[in-house]
Amino acid sequence: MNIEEYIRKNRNQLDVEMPDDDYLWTGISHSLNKKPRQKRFLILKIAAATVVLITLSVITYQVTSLRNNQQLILAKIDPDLAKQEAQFQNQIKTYYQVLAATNYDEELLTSSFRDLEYIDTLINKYSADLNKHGPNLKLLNSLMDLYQKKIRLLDRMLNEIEKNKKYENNKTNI
Amino acid sequence: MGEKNVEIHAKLIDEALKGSQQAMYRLYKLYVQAMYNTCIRMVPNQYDAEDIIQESFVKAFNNLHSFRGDSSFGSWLKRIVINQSITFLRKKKQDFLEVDCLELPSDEDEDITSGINPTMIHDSIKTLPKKARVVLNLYLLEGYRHKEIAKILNITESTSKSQYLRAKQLLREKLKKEIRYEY
Repeated sequence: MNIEEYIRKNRNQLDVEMPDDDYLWTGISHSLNKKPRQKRFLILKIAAATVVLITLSVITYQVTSLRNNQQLILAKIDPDLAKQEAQFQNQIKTYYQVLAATNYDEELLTSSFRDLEYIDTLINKYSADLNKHGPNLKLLNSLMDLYQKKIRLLDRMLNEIEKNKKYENNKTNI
Repeated sequence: MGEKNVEIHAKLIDEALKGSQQAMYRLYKLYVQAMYNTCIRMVPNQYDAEDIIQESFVKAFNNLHSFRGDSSFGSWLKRIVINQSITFLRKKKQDFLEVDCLELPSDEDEDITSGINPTMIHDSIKTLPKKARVVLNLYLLEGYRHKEIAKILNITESTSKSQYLRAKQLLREKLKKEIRYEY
């Protein structure tokens, strides 16, 4: 009989090693018990993400509809003012696009971003007031003033980025 | 496998599918030894084999719903163990393609089986070079065809055949030495 035949004939007796099955099972059962928890955690994560997404959508919707309403109000009060606001908003949008494309150092602009956030809070507050109480000249002027402040701040931020870039380049050249 | 055994297995699988860890444990106890031996002949290191066996059983129990019963549970489980072992070897950069240029002794049909036993064969297989060892295990012990081995290991059928020939001849030489040592 050659080896091939011998092995085929005795295949069932070749499993001679005894594994440490208690030790192995401990690991297996641990992994099996861990799985549902991971699943539950995953479900929680998905749920949390969904909640965040819905909240963001609602906020975006509210802000957009608020702006639209506000523009309607402005259009009723003074079409020129409504046009000006639209211009400001477009300008701000362009600044944000330029800013995003600069690959800026976040640390450098931390306080500016905080200021922007504050201005946005005020803009939202004034817009809500305008929507709630109707046309008010003082409120309208303050709102336009906030837009201009925001534009100036964004402009300053871009200058800061440019200055920093030049400084870094000079440093490398030296 | 007897009809009664098949019935018991079907019952255990059913219960395991419902999440019974007791049923899983019983299935595990039924198959762990065979699976461990298959694995350690492919990956001849106790710690690696233990890891692979644990991963394989976890994978099997978590995917029990995909067991359709076309083959026996043991064959299905063994396929998982073999796949896990091959994946492990691949991760260790084990290339199955290369056939070492080694002068092979001629395959005499000399009967050496009178002096050997299953333990000697098992231990000798574990000492074979990796590539030859995997092909010999799959072909001779697990009943795969060269065509299937070629597909699994991503090699040609003729490479599989030459690896097998090499493995067989090396095994014969090792066993001969063992017998000489024994007497």
